[in-house]
Amino acid sequence: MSPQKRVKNSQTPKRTSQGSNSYQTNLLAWKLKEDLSNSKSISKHEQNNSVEDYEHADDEAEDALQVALRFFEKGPFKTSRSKDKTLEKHLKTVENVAWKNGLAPEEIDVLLNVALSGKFGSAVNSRILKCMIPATLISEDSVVKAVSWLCVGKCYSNTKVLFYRWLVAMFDFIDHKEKINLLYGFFFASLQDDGLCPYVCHFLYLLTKKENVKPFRVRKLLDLQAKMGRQPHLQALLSLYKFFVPTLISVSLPVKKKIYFKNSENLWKTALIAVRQRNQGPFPETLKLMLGPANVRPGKRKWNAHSLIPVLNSSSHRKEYGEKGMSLSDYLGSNRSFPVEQLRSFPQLLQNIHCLELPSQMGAVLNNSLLLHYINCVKDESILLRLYHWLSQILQEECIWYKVNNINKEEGFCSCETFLYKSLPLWDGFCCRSQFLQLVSWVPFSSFSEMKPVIFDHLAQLFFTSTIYFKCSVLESLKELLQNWLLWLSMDVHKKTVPDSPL
Amino acid sequence: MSVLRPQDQLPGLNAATILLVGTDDALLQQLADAMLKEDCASTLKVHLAQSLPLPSNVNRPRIDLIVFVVNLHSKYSLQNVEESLHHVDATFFLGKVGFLATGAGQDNHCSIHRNTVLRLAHTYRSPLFFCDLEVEGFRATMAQRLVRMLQICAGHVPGVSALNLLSLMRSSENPFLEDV
Repeated sequence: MSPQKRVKNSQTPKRTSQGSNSYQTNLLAWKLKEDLSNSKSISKHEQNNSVEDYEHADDEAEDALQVALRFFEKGPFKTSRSKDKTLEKHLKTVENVAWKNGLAPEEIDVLLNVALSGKFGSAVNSRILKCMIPATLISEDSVVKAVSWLCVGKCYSNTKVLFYRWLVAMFDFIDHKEKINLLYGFFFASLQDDGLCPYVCHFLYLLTKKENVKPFRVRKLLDLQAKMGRQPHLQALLSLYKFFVPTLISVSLPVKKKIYFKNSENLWKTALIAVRQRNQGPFPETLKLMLGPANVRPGKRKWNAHSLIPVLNSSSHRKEYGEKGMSLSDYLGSNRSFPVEQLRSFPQLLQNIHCLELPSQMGAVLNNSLLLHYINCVKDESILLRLYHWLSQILQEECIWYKVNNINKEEGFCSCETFLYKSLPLWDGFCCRSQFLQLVSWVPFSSFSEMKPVIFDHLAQLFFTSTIYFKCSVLESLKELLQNWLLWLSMDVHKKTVPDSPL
Repeated sequence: MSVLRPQDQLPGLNAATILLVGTDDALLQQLADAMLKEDCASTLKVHLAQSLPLPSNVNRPRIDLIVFVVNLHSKYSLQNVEESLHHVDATFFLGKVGFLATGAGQDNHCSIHRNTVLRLAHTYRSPLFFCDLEVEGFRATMAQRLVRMLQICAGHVPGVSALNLLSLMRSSENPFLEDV
C-alpha cells in the first residue's frame, strides 16, 4: 500500500470510488473482494502515471498557486500601490486555478482560514470564498476551523453569509459530517442573527439528524417563527423536524410549498457540475441500477425533477468508499452509524444492523428492499410513524382534490386509511382509479359494520352509476381485499401467541 | 301547477329529460354541455332552472330526474335548493331526485359543511354526489354518471327501475360517520 500513498490527495477519492463502483454493480462482490484488490493495484499504477503527466502540464500554474497561497497565509503588508497589485495578481492566480481545476483540500484549508480570519478586506474575502471550488472533496477539519473563526467576531456579516451559502452549496463535497454535526448547537444559535437566518436554516436543513431534534430547539424555532412570521426557511426546518419526530411538533405546516430556499442565483452552479463530473463520472449509472423504479416518474407532473420517492440519503453520508474492507470488529468497536446509501448487500445489512441510520426522508426506504427487511424486523413504532407522516404528505400533495384547492392549514393524515375514508366520498371514480382501488384493497381487517359507512356505501354509489369497466375494477379490488384479509388472518393464526388477540 | 309531479305528462318516445336546479348558471350550463356530449341511445334533454317552481304556462316534456346542485361555497345556493324542494311532489323522491354538491375540494372556501348537505340528502332519501364542477375532468365523469342514472330513471334500461337503483345506492342509517 505504501507506494500508492504518494498519489496526490485530491486524486484519492476518485480512485477509490471507481473501485467501489465495480464493486457495486457486482452483486457477488463480497466474494470477489480478493480478485478486486489484485486488479486494483494495477489500475492504481496506471493512474499514478496519468497524474504525473497531468501535473507536468500544469506545473507553472501550480507553482504560481503555491506562491499565492504563501502570500495569503502571511497576511497583508502595509498597503501600498505595488502590494495591491501583487494581491490582485495572486487573487487572479487562485481564481484561475480554482475555476479550471478546483482546489485541493489543503489549499481550501489555507484559503478558508485566510478568508474568515479577516486579514484582508471584505472584498478580498468574498472573492476568495467565491472561488473555493474543490477539486474533489473538502476536508471536514477545514470547515470546523473556519467555523471557529466565526466565533472570533472578526468576520463581516456579508462574509458570514457568503460562507454559509458556500457551505450549503458544497455540503455534498465535505468528506465527513460528524464533527460538523457536533457544532449543531452553534449553528442553531446563529439563527438569531436575522441576516444569517435563511442561510443557516438551509445549512441546518442539510445537517440535521434525528438526534439533533430536541424539544428546546423546536420551541426556539417556534419562537422565531412567532417573531419573524411564517418564513419559508423556518418552516422548512420545522417540517424536517416534524419528519424526524412527528410527535414533537403539533403545529400544522404547509405541505404544498416545495421550494423553501431560494437557490436560483447559486454562485457555484457551473463549478458544482464540474466537480460532480470529476468526482463521480460513472457513478449515476450504478445509482440507477440500484434504485430502479424510483426513476420512473409519472409524466404529467413536474416534481422539480425529483421522483416521488426520495433518493436514499442519510444525513451523515461520508465518502469513504475505500473502507469497504473493514472487519466486523471494526464496526462493532465504533458506535457511529452506517450510512444507508452505502448499503448494498444482505451481509452488509447484517453487519451493520445495530448502527443503521435511516434516511431523513423515510419514503426513500421504499426503494430499498434491504431496508424494508430491516424495518420489518426492528418493529420500531417511530419508524412507522415517520413513514406514515411521509406518506400522508405525499398523498395530500399528489391527490388531485387537494391540488384543486389551496388549503395549507390541514395537518397530515395519520395514515392511508384516514386519507381513503376522507377522500372516498369526493372521488369521482375516474381519476387515479387504480391507485385508489389499490388503497381500498389494503384496508386493514375490520368488521363489516365499520367498513360499510366509510367505504362500501361510497363505492356502491359509484358502482351503480359508473361504467362496466369501473364495476369490474371494483370487484377486482374487493377480491384482493379479501385475499389480503385472508393472508392477514392466517398469519395471525400462526402466531397464536397472543391470548387476547382481536380474533 | 306549483308542484312538480313525475306522472304529470306522458313520456316522450325514447326521450329522457333531466332537470338541473341550481343558482350557478354557468356551471349548470357546462354540466349540461358535458352531458349532451355523452354517447347515449336515448334522446337526451337537459333543462336548467335557477329555482322551482317552474313557470306553468310552458309546454315541457316529462321530467325523469331532478338534480339539485348545491355550491358549498354559497349559503344562498343551499337555501335556494331547500326552498325549491317544497315544489317537488313526494313521489319524485322514489329515486328520481339526486343532490350534487360542488366545491368540496376547496375546503377553505366552504361556507356550508359537508354534513349539512349529507343530512339534507338523507332527509329526502336521495343520493348525494360530490363533484367539483369547475374541473373539466370531474365534470365529464359526473356527466357520464348522471346520464346513466337518467336512462334508468326514464325507464330505458330493462330490468332496473329508479326505485330499484335508489335502494341499491341507499347508504347506511347513520350517514354522519364522516368524522371518524
